[in-house]
Amino acid sequence: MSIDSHILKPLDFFVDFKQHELETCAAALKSRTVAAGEVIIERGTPALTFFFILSGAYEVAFEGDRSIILEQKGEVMGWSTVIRPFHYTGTITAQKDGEVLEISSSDFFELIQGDNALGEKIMKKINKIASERRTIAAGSQ
Amino acid sequence: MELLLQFLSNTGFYLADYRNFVMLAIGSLFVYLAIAKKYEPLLLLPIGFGVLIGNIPFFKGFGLGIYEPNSVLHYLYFGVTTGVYPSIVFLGLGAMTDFSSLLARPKLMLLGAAAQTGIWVTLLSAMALGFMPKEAASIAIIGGADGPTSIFLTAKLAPHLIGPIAIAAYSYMALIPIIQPPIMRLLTTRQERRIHMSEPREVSKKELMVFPVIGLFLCCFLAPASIPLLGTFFFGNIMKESGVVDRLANTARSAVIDTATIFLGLTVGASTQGDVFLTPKSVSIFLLGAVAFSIATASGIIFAKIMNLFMKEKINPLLGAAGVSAVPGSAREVHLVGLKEDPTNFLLMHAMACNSSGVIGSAICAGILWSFMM
Repeated sequence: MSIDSHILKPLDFFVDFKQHELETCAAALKSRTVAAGEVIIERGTPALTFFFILSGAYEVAFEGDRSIILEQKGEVMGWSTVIRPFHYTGTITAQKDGEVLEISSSDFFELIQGDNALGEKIMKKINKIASERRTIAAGSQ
Repeated sequence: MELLLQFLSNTGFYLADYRNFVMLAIGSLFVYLAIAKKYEPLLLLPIGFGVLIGNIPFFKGFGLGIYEPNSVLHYLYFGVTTGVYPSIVFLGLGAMTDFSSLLARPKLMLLGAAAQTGIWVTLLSAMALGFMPKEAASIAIIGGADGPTSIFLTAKLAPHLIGPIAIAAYSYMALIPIIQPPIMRLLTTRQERRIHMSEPREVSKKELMVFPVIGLFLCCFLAPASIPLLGTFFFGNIMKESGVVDRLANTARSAVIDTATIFLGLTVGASTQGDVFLTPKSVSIFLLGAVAFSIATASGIIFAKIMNLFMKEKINPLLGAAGVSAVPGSAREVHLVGLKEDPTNFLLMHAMACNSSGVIGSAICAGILWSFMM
């Protein structure tokens, strides 16, 4: 289901986005409800979609029994879709019912093609999140 | 009994030969990759299913096959052989492309031009290998890494090669993450890959609106035969940038391009009938296509390095690899290779500039080749 740009405004990820950028992102994102126990990402499978949390709690289980819980509104899951290694590095399971926003890699690259600056802005943010997440994942061993 | 035998002799099982089964296996593989592995599904599913449709054995002369006049597939294929589908795809591409990074740093256009070297080197190589000039030109255009442009030119010059050339062009576009990074690393030093590009200037709305008109004049006066591709491309872009026909621009970049892509993929797939596709020529086309694409990648990088000899502010030579027109796949690879070397080096926007100019560059080359070979 497509969404309205006002849903994105309060999310940390989009805090410095201009109105037209929010509208472009909103047009590309789709909302999806998730049931408790549902596996939305499986480790090792090709990363083709990434997600923003709107509600709920999600366990990310990495290799070697390491795991973290993501529940902050606006947090990104599945960033391997746009940066290496292009396959999911953790299995993500919903801990309770919730809602996420999703975008496929093909839609994301269409967005980049249509607005280069916005594409770079998103890539930079995802890259920063990915390096933070890697540190957290390594620390949780 | 006679009727039963007649019925059996009319079935595909009786009419099939090994080439049908080889192509059906290839088509099934494409469909599998698209659905199970979600690998380039927008391309592989229509093409793969088209391969299946085109390779079911049938009575010749019954008006069923894609090469038989008055068949349904033949009518759908008309959009390929006349160049209509590629032109429509270019309309949609124009409506979805942002030229701001190119306008912010116009000298990156040179990299888009340099990457077209692959086309010309392959043209000469294919002719040296015994291909007729029109066939050689059609094979060479694979170096532009642009499926619709390859199909457009091949339809005009060597329609009998559309199947293998289209499949080769799309295959290499899909194989960008495998083909390009090793060439990028081979031709650049670690220090070069770490070169940061300065922030591009902000491009005004007025510049973005004027560009499609100026671009149309410059490109189509230079190569009038590129009008079918670049005319629709720049028209799509002015619809996007003018902001006065948002509804049309949205339609062009969604429903219109999707419709053309469906029929383009399906009929190109169906054109790969075993008896016309499984030939030694097809193998040569695949090999030369790989050469063309690799040379295109390399020549963009080498040209960037040459530019650096004369420029005060150095450019990251990886950007040259994005001079092919596979948007935005090659720009993404450049970005990722740069990022691997230095996590703070974001090349995406700059690479998009080269990538967009690559689209224009390969369409101009197609126009030049078409007019030269006719």
